[in-house]
Amino acid sequence: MTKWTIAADPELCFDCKACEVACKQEHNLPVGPRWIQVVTVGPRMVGGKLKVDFVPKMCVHCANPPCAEACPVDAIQRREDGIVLIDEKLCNGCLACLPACPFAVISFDPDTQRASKCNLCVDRIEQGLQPACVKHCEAGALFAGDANTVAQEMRKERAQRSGV
Amino acid sequence: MKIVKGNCGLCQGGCGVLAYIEDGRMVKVEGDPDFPTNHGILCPKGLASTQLVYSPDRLKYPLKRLGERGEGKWARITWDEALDTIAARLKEIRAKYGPLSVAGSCGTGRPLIHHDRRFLNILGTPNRLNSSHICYMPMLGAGIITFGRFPSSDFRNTRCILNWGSNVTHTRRMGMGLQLIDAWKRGAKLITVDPLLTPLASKSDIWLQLRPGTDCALALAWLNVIIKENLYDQEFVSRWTHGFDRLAAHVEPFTPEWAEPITWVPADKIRQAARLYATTSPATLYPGVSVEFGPNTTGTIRALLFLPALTGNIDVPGGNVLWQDAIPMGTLYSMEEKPATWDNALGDYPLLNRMLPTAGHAGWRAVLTDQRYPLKALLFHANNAIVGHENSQNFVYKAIMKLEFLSVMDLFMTPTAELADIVLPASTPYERDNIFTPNAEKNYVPPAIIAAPKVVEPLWESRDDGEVFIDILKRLGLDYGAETVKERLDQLCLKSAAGVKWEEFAKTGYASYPQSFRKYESGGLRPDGKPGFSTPSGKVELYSSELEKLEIDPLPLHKEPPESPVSQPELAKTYPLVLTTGIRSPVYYHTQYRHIPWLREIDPEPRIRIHPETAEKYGIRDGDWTYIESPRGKCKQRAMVTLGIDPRVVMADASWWLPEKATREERAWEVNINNLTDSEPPHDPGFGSTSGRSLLCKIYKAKE
Ligand code: SF4
Ligand code: SF4
Ligand code: SF4
Repeated sequence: MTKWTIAADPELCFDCKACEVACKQEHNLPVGPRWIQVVTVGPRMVGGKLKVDFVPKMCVHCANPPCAEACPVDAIQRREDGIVLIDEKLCNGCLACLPACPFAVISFDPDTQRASKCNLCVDRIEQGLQPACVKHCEAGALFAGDANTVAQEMRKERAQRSGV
Repeated sequence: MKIVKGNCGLCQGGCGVLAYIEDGRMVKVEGDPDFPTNHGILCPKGLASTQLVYSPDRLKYPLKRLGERGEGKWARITWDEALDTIAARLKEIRAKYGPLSVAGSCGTGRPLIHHDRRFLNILGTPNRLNSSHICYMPMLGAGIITFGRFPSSDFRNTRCILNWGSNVTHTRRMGMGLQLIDAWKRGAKLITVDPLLTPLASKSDIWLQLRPGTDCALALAWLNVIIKENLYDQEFVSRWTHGFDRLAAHVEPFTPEWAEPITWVPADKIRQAARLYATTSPATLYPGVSVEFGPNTTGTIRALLFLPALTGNIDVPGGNVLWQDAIPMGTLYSMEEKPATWDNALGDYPLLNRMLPTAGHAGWRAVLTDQRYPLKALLFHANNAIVGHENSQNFVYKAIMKLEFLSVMDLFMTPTAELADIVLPASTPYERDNIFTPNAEKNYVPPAIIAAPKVVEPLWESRDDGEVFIDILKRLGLDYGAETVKERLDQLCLKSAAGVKWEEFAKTGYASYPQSFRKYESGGLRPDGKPGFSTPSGKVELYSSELEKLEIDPLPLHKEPPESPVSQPELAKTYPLVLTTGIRSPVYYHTQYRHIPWLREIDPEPRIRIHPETAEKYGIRDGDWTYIESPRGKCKQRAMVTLGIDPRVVMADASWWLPEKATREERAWEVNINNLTDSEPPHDPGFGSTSGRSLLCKIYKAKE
C-alpha cells in the first residue's frame, strides 16, 4: 500500500511563495497558521560562490511521529497510508505537540483554538489530485506521493538539470 | 458548485483560471491545466484572488468629496450624480482652457489601456500621466528603432539565458517565469546581471554584480569582447546589419578593463560571461524593467539588443524572436486614431511621444508650472500615482493638490484616491469581460490574445472602467465608437488572431498565430513584403540614422548616473551610499495588494537590503527600522542585513504604502521609496526616463 509523503528540493525552489498561498486557500486558513513556509537560508559562501537557498518546510508525515507521542489525548494519528492527521475534535489545544515536532511545523490556529498542520491535502489526494502546494509550485520543487516514487522523481529532476 | 473558466487579471500575466462558484460567489481559484501559458499553475497573487474580490476594504459606492481636498470627508452618491459631475466639470474646464487641459491615465496599463487610450483620443488629448517612460516604452521603442520590432525572448528553445536585471520568477508575467525555469531545468546556461543576489542570480552559472546604473558600460564591454574575439556571426552581421564597422570602432576602447572600475565587475568575469553567452547557441537575452529606469535608456537598451544582433540570435528558435502581433498594437492602443493634438504632447521625448505619451513627470510639471498649456483636470483609473510616481511628496502630491478636478476609479481608497473630488468603485478582473494581450508585451513567444470573461457579477455598485468611459463620453456628446464594452471587445477580437466576436472567442479564450522565424529572409517584416527589416536601412540599425536626426547618440554611450559618488563627490559626502529601488515582492504587483491578508502575512513590511559591513558601520541590526534619505526626501524600511548586496549599495523595496495607518503621512509616505526617487532632468532624450535605480542616500537607525 502507498505510504504517502511530501518533500521539497530546495535546489529547485525560487522562493515565489505560491505554495504558501495555495495552502491557505485550500484549507481556508486565517492569518497565523502556516502549514507550509519557505525559509531563506543564506546568503552564504558555498565552494567559493555566494549562494542563497529557499527551503520549503512542512510536515513530513514521520513514520514514527513524535508529535503523536507527545499528544496527551491521542488526537494525532498516523493513518495506514502514512498521512499524519490531527483530529480537531479530539485536540484540546494544549499544544504539547508543538515543541515535540523536530521540524517546528505545527501551528496554533486562532480561529479553532487548536493545533493545526499540513494534512497532505487528504481530501484532494482521495480524489486523485495533487496537494494544492505541489500543483501550484512554479518550479516543480515539491513532490508528493509514495515515499519510494518521490525519492526517484527527485533524483530524476536533478539528473536532468545537471545534464547527466 | 460549478467550475467556470476565467482568467486572472491580478497582474499582466493572463493566467488561465478555474473559478469555483457557489451560489454566485467565487469560493476558490485554481490554475487551468489546459491553459497554454500557465499550465494549471498560479502565482501567490492569483491564488489570493478570493480575498481580493471579497475584500471588505474595497470601494463599494461612488463618493464625492466634502470639505477640502484630501480632508477625508465623503458623501455617498449615485452613479448618475458621479458621472454628471465628472461630465459637468470636464465641460467647464475644457471650455475654459481647451481640450489639452484634461488628461488621464491608467496605472500598469493592463487591459484597461485599450479603453483608456481610446477615451483620451476622443477627448482630444495625447497626455497620459503614467510610467511608460520607465516601463515598457523604452524597451519597445529601442527595439523598434533597432529592428523595426521588439525581439522577445524564446526560452522554450534556448540553451543559454542572459537574464539582465530581471527577477521574473517572482514577477512571473505571461508565464515567462515558468518558461525560464523550464529551460533552466533542461540544463540551459543561466547568466544573471543584478546588483542583488536574487534567487535567479544564486542559481546562475555566472552572476555579474554590477554597480546600479552602469548597465550600458557593461554591455559595451561585452560588445568589445564579442567583436575583438571574433565571437560574432560574421555572415549575419555582414548581410543584415547596418553600421557594424562604426560600432566596432566605437567599442574598441570599451574593454573589460575599462568597464571594471565603472561597473565594479571584474574584467575577467565580464570576459567569461560574454564568451559563455556568445558561444552557446541559441542564446536569448531577457532584459528586465530595471534597465528602463535611468536617464540613458535609449543607449543602454540598444547596447543590450546588439548582443543578440551580433551573435546571430535574432529571429531564430531559442534566440530573440521578432514580434508577430496577435493584434496590431496600433489597433489595440488606438494609435491609428491619434487626435490632432498628438504632436503637442507634454515632454519633448520624441521616441516616447511616437508611442504612448507622456511621462507622468512631464504632466506633473505642467500642472505645477502651466508651461506650454494649462493642465487642470485628471481622470485616473487604477493609478496610484502618489505611491507609484517619482518624487512623491515634494512633486506629485503638490501637483495633485493644485488640480482643479481629479476623479479616481479604483478598487481601494488609495492615497491617490484620497485626494480626489470623485471616487468611483471599480470591479475586479473577475467581475468584467476583457481581453489580455500579452502579444503587445515585450517578452512573449508566441504572441497571443487572451479572453478574460466575467465569472461573478460585480459586487456592490462596482463597475467596469470601460463602461464608465463610454458613459462619460456620452454625457459630453462624444462617441466612443461602441455602445457597450462587449461591442468594443468585438471590434478588437475581430481584428486579432481570434478572428471572431467576443462571445465566441471567450469560449476558447486563447488565440495566436503560429510562431515563425527568420522573417527577415522571407519578407515577413516589412510593409512592402521584401526581405529585410522594417528600418530605414532595411537592416538591423547598429548605427541609427533616425537617432542621429533626432540629435540622440546614434551609437550607445556610457553616461555616469547624474547622482553618483563619481559624478557628485561633494554630495556623496552627505549621502555616501548608492541607492537602488526596484525590488518587487512575489506577492504584490506594484502598489497593489497590501490589503490582502494571505499576502501581507508573507511580506508584512518593506525591507532595505544592507551589507553586514555597512550595517555595522551605521549601527544598524537586522530587522531595525532604518531611515533612508536622499536629497529629495526620506522613508523608513526594515533592515535586511545580507551578503547579497555590495557594501557600497543599498537596495529598497518598491511601491509600498500602509493602508492600515491613521494619517496620510504614514499611509502614503512613511515607507514609500518614491519619496527619494528623482523626477527632474537629466532625462533620457528619447523616452524621458528618470533616475530611480541609481541614486545617492544615507541611512540611519529609526527609533521605531
Ligand atoms: S508534525 Fe512534525 S513530528 Fe508530527 S508528523 Fe509532521 S513533521 Fe513529524
Ligand atoms: S511554490 Fe515552489 S518555487 Fe514557489 S516557494 Fe513554494 S516550493 Fe518554492
Ligand atoms: S502571474 Fe499574474 S495572471 Fe498569473 S496568477 Fe499571478 S497575478 Fe495572476
